[in-house]
Amino acid sequence: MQSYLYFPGCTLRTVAKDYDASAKACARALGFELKEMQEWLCCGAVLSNVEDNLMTKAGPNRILARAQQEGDKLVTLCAGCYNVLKRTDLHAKLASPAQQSINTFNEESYNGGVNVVHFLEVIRDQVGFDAIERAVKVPLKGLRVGAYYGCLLLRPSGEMKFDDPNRPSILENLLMRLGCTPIDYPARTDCCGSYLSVGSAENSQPMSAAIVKSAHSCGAKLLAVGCPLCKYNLESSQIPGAKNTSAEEFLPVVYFTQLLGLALGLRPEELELNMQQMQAIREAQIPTSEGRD
Amino acid sequence: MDLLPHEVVRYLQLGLQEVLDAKSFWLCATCFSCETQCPRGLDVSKICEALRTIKLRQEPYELNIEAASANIPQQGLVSAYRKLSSY
Repeated sequence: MQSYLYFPGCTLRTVAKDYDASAKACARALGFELKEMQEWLCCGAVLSNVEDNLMTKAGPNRILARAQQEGDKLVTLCAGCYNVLKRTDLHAKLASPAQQSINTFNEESYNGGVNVVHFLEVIRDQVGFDAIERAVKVPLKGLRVGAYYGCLLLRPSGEMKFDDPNRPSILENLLMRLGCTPIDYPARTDCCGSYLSVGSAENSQPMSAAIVKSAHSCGAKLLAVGCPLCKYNLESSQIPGAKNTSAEEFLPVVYFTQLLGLALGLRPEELELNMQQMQAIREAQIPTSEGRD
Repeated sequence: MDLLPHEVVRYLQLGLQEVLDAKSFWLCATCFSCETQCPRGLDVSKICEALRTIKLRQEPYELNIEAASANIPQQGLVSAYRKLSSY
């Protein structure tokens, strides 16, 4: 079985176990394996833009130095890890004096060379969307999904080069192959408020609520994301009593891997889909493979 | 937001120190949207981070996470400490 070296990161071990489980289940169904790196540590979650404090860059460089011992490609799922590790690799290639200092401090040299990719890119470039379409067992017909990209997958665009930063299409292209009807809505690349929800939710909540409102007004029944922090923010802007949203505008949020898994014929339990998410999918009259075995 | 991004930039061009007392750059979530859209190629996320860093070094501040939800992703906690706290 083809296997890819995989960096889960802290969040996929804790509050986003559903993202980790559903991606691994999809990989198995598609004939490949996500092989976890032997020794990994915190990537730092965000890449510091401060150039006179190199300490925040030691962690991601150490991760890549260790990954390099196991392979030349590293698959990520969390949009934060993807952003940090991919940009760390780009910066390492510049062979700057700063990079030399980081390497000296780490006592593990990294000078670039690990190809950091997102799981979506593996699906598109290694498996191929045509093969995905052939592997679909339960087309998600009629499911009106708003793909939400957020920031970290796309920007800074010059470094990420993941998709068009203003009009991305990779998620919609995948969703179409699964039988879904992707909904185009203006806020799909807007910021969800990110880490502002930690200390000042009153500032992040209206940002997330505006995204939900935008998707809902364009006809989405569900939001699909690739970032645990986006998912948390979009969900917490909709909890009962939250300002800025109404119950009629409620949209469940799922990881794109969970929709991929359903379309591949995997059971909701394997994908860790909860009742609320499944209810939204059922309401869109999608037959699932639930209870088939 | 007390100063809009273009106003923050103008304050900086004029060397006005009071820009450090503005609240705007604490509301930046480093999403880099400005960077993809600014016709002058300004990296507003980086400017905001520079201003926060100057302020956090002048007056050490520790982020209070007691009010944060228990379900908040670790990714969010680490990011917030990295961007909004001296420690």
